[in-house]
Amino acid sequence: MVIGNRPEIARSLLAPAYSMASVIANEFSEAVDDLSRSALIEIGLALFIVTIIVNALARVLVWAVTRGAPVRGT
Amino acid sequence: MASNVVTPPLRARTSNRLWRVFANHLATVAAVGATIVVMAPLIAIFFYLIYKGASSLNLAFFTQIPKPVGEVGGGMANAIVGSGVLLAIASLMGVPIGIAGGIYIAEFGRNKRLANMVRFTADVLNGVPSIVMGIAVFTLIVLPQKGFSALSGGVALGIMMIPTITRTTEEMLLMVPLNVREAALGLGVPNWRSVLSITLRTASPGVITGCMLAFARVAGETAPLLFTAFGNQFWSVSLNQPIAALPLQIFVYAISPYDEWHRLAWAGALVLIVLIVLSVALVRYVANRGVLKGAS
Repeated sequence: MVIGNRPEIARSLLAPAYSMASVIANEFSEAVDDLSRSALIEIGLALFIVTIIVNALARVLVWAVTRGAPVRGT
Repeated sequence: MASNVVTPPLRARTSNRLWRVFANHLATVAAVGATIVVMAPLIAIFFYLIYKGASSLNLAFFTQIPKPVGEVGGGMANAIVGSGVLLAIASLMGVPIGIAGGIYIAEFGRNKRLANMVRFTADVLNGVPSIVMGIAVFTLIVLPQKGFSALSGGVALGIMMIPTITRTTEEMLLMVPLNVREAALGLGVPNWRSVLSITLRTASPGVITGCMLAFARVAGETAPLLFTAFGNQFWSVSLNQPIAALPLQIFVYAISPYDEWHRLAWAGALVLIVLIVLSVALVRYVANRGVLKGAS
């Protein structure tokens, strides 16, 4: 919310911007037709996929490290 | 190294010692500094809330419902009660499922594929943005029901509690030594009984801490409630009606253009933090007493 909620891509870090989560929060209650509601839910899907990818990467990293550890030890 | 050998041993030792004392002090200062940096935001937030909100706190805040714009006074009694209802639903749903999931991963599903999947799912669920949880529950419960409800808000918060509780329960159960389990099994206790009354019992302080962490985390959530519990300016404890919640009320008041509402939002934030701290402390206290009594 403190990001400023301006729907454009700013070059400056000090300028207002928008985040995916705040788009949903601000516009979901005003989304009356199916299309805009679906679009907002798709933003949610994108956020969810980002979560899955980050978690999968973390899991792969853990696997790689734990698999390498005994080999290094011997 | 070579110069050290040339200099007299005594002198080398003192300079070495000076350096070590200096390094020691440096590390201490760095550690204390880091501690202060960690604690500073919490203390700053707390004192700023007291500074801004304490003057607006009065009896009416806890006993009255919000007044229309323009009228001075009014309180957040309905929001405090509403938060309580939502958190009760969330805990009823999140705590049993979370603990059961943790028990499965730690006790029954070791090295099984399903357990790994549950663990991964919990991790993903833990990282899902709270607003996504809000729209998920909105499409699952609010749309079919054709209306915002306290129940859907409680379910959204409950789902958010599950992964934290599952993961901490798992960690805590894994910390219980194998000998304890073997002792129980050696006495002929069935496995499920040993898990419930021996392993889980031993790990209960940690499990309770995990539950309180999850509770405190969802108690302040606004985003999942925006499209589920929705908020309510009037008294309501009905489960299938929109219900007020403290974080939601603070949010609405904070983005409003009225000074009077800003004042109430500050007071609400202060009350929310104090209530969370109090409830966590109370559960800790009761649980500690209970565990001690059970042990002796």
